[in-house]
Amino acid sequence: MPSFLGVFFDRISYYWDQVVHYFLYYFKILPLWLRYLLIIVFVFAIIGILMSHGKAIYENRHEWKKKPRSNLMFSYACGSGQAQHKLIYQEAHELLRDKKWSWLCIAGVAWRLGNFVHPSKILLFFLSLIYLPLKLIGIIEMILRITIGTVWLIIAALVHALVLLVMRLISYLAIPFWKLVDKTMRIEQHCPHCYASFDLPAIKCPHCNTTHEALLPSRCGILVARCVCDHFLPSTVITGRSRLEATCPVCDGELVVTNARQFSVQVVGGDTSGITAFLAAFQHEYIKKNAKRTNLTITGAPQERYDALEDMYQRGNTVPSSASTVQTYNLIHKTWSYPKDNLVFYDVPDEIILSENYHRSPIFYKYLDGIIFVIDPLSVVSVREESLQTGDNRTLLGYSKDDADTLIVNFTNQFSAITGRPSQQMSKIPVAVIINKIDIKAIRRKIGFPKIKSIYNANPAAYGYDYGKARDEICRAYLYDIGLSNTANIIESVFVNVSYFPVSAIGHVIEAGKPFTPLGVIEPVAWLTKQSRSRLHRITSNKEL
Amino acid sequence: MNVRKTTATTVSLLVLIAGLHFLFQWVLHRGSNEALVRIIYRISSIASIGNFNVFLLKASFWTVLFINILDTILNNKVVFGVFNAVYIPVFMGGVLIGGVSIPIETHLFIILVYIVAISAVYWSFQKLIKNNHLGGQSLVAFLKEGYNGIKTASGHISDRHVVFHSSVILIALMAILIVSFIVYLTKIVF
Repeated sequence: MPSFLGVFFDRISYYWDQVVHYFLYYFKILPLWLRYLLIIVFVFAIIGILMSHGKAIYENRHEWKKKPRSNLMFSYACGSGQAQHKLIYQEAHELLRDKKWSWLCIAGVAWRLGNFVHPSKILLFFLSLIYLPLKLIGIIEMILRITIGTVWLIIAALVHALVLLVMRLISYLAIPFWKLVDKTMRIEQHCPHCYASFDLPAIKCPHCNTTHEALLPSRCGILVARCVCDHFLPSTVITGRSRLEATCPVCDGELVVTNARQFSVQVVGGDTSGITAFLAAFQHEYIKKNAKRTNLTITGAPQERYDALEDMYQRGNTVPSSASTVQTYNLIHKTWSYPKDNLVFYDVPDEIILSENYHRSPIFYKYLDGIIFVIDPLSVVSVREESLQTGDNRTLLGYSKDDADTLIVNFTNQFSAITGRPSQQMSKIPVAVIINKIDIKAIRRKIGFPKIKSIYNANPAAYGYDYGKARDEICRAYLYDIGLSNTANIIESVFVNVSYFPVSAIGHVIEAGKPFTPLGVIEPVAWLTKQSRSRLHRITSNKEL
Repeated sequence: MNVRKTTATTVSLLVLIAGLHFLFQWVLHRGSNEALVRIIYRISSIASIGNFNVFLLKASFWTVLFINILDTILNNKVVFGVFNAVYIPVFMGGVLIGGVSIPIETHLFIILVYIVAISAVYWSFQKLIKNNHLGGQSLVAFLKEGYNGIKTASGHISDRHVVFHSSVILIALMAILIVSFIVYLTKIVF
């Protein structure tokens, strides 16, 4: 320490000792009652100082500084604390000088007594005998309170400012780290409305519905940030941002889930080929199959669409889906109440594929994880005739009138055009071709599960001891048999990874009031998840998590 | 009316009382010893009339002083107006000091004390009901109307009770003083 500073502090210490010495000397001269009175006044002055400071802090605890062009407030360390600091010490100085607000203040009691109104002059006179000494003591108290309090508040303000500065520096160091941690934990999401991809959706405050487009670790808070409605919101994946409702940052459309790993499947088929029935059967079977898992809950969203699907399942009848819009069905997988995965089905109506409108929503090809082609064998005349010959008159109840070849050609053309696929290069997106309505006798006896099993068991070596390969080859051969070889060839000329599945979504002849008894609806999706190496495969294939 | 506004009267009274106290102390210190001895001797002669009568005279002085202070308070007197509270007691003291100064018989001095005490009590009564009674300052009017005739500036029940009971005390004191005075006169004559 420089010598002049040492001298300075020695001098200060000396003067301080002198002040204390003279104060104690004169204090001891005073009568005992006066000394006690001064001690009491001093104690009240100290109480007044601490209460002024405490009240100023308490009154300004909700004063947070709003971030410009945002609906969030600056965090305490990075802006709001500094704003509060200014307000707290302004108010504390005002409260220090104001005797009126506290009952624990002699001057305040005197002020209240002085304002006491009563018609009796005698009573007022006797009260004035109490008021006068209180007033005198109150003046001494206020002198002590303002003098000591001003010094106290100056020191406290300096210490507070220093603490805020340190907190700010720590925050500036911590923000990039937490941003990085959060970035690594964010998962790419896709809007079901505009098909935009993003990893940070706009988050809605559950208290005031305000939308926050950048709820990230920032100067508004590292782990939590304060909304304009004064409620704290989690600002990272770790602290639970994913549990809040979110919207698309591009089109502002509602998202059914936040930060869940999405597995997108496009379901394509002709009219009345059984897409809706397949989805109704799949959701019911899938949710039922996984209901026993303790740490996993699967819920459908939007709820009303799943309610409609479940209603169809239970009533045993289907209602045609929209012919003009792509319907999205989400199955949200929550582990310990956190959304982890989202299995999304895009039901693309054949009217859209066959029309010029399909190119308007092609963006989801960029993140497509699988395609399901639903083929109705009854769309083939020979199958319908064979079915009638076997005595099954189901063909009269409804079949797809769309030509499967035309539909597939249109789809693959659109797909190639949109994705810019060169003619020599095949797409790696796995495609599950499902041959629906295998409950019909004419189809069942060709590709029914017992039939496939028996063929496989007769010569498993021919299929490399792989039942899946047997099922795939038998179903593919069936398509060739019924004259849909072109369909299979077109698909295989565009997609490298194709497999064929026998499915019966309804499981029986449509009959009002008779619930579905589906067959093989889970296997195509399980195969798709396996091909894409999605972690959903453990769930779709009913393995332990 | 609030406590703070009443403080003006209180402070004025406190200043007056403190002033009189210091004046009295000053007179005691500055006055000649001979005069003081004479005064003390004369005042101590009152003891010959008996303890009850001595108590009665002392009580008269303090009662008159106290009730005059109450009257001052009830009428909101401030600054020099508070002399209203002390002029009768001061007058009593002045006459008595005058009586001490005149070389008269002890009996005559005691008669003078009685007369001054009875006059002061009656004067105080008249002053009190003059300011606070609808029926005027007569004793008859007060006895006739009683509590119902009391009308203070504030009109509050407690103030009216104070005036009424102070008046009753003064009347009772006056009656006792008169009886005591007659008894004393009878003793002297017979």
